[in-house]
Amino acid sequence: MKNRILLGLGLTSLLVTAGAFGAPAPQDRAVGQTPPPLLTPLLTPEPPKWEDRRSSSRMGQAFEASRLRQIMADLPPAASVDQVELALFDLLPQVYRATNRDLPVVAEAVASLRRQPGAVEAMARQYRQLPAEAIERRLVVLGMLGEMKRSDAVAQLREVVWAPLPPVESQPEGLTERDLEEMVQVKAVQGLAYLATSQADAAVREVIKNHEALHVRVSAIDAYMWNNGDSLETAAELYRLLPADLHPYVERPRFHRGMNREEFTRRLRTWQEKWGSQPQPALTSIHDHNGGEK
Amino acid sequence: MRPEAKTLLRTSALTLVLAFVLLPSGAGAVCTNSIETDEQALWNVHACWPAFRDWFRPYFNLQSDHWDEGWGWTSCDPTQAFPKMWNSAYLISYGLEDWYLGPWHSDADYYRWASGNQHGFRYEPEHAFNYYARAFWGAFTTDRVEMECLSFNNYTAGVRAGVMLHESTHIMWEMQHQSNPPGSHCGSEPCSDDWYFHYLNSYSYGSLAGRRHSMIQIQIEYNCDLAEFGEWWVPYTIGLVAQNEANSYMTNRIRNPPGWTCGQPRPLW
Repeated sequence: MKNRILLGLGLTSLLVTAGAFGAPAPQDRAVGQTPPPLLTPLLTPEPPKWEDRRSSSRMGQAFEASRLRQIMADLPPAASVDQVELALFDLLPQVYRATNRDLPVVAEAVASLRRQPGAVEAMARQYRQLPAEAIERRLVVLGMLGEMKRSDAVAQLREVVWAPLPPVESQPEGLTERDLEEMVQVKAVQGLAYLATSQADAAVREVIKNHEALHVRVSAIDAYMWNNGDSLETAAELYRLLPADLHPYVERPRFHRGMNREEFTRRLRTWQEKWGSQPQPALTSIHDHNGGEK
Repeated sequence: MRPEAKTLLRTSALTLVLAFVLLPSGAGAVCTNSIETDEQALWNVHACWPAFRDWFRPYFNLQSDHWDEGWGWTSCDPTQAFPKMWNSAYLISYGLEDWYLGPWHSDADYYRWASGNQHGFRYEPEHAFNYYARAFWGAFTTDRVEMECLSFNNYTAGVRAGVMLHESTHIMWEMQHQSNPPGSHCGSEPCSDDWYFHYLNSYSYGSLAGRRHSMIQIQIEYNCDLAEFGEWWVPYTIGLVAQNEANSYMTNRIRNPPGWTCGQPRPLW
């Protein structure tokens, strides 16, 4: 409807313009005549100061650190799988509401869970109950499972990594279902690599060599390197293991909070000199078409 | 042309115009409202702050003509589409820590980049399910970004913010996607971009305008900045998904890999 109104206004203005050809010439404007009023109000170029925001009235439920700690404190030292799962029903919704500031409390809870014999099975049960489209919750649960660093989680993590992927589909302006599932598999392989046992390392190398998704393979390479101290020996092992087209992914610098910027830049320069490529000439230059739709 | 003929022509044209204007619109359907935990957690931070709403509406160029009538123009309910856009604009505007050893670009760089008003386009909601969002531009087109329903359901505010930056880039640089590298997930439809390489210190904070970035490149840089340098109040799941999306796009949608990766591969964060 709105587009039709605009179209109508546009056509009307054309009509008026066309009609003006036959109209008498307008009188000259007087010097200093008042300009027409602005159609839109002047914009403030910067947003209001964040410090001036309204204090939160907490319309929804917020993360409660004390609640999270209480849930863990209420669990007996060697709780059954059912008891842990019952606790997770309370605990996980708290974690989903956590902000960056709350992460140390979440890490405390994971450390407590790690000491619970039934925690891996209980987490696996919770994971299976999550709907497929709840990607962020699946990532959280898998992340917690990996962070627990328990060797009995290998089977569950391998099951996720090797689950069949959806077919390729067309979605140029966003993530496809396949992209999202690959993200979940990456989180699982990060958990495997974090275990840093010979069994888990072998499982990661299997992913690096044989997984069907490039993104999962290169993420497995990164996790393998990181968990082996980014050593030259590990890099050499991977260069021997991998085909040449995957070699550029072995020693990529990581952009992260707490990094040394100079060191990041130095490693990026090294990478660029070794593997870098310049942008391809654009198929469409920026001014050679009248419009687009993407 | 005879005067009677001219009058007839004008009358016919005017009738045509009025018909266009007065024709009933389409279904007028809106996207289904949905509850996302991170959306509510982010909403709690600003709690429907009217001063920000009054700034972001004209700055990003969201108009009541499009966002009223069921889309949530006057609502403080983050299950609706307009409040979700509000959340994303809020993240773009305040969500990064800009200290000296910080992100690729600053908040100001990103909100200026995504501003519809600065670049002559507007954001509209669209009851459709084919895309997350689409950009339209050109001589005989109303320059606009249509945000479709997929952007409002099970999609974090951070990812939506990245989509706004992506679509803005299409219009700002009049740029289309390029052919796909091997392993791309787009089939035969071009969905990939070039990477316009720069270092961390190439552009000082506040000077991003006019520096060429491709659609997916700006989306990756923003997502990774949000994941790694998000403010303390940014919901954890928003950063988690943003990091994963940045790395996914770097592998699957960039034709000349940028040579770095986003974040450390630790399971929890």
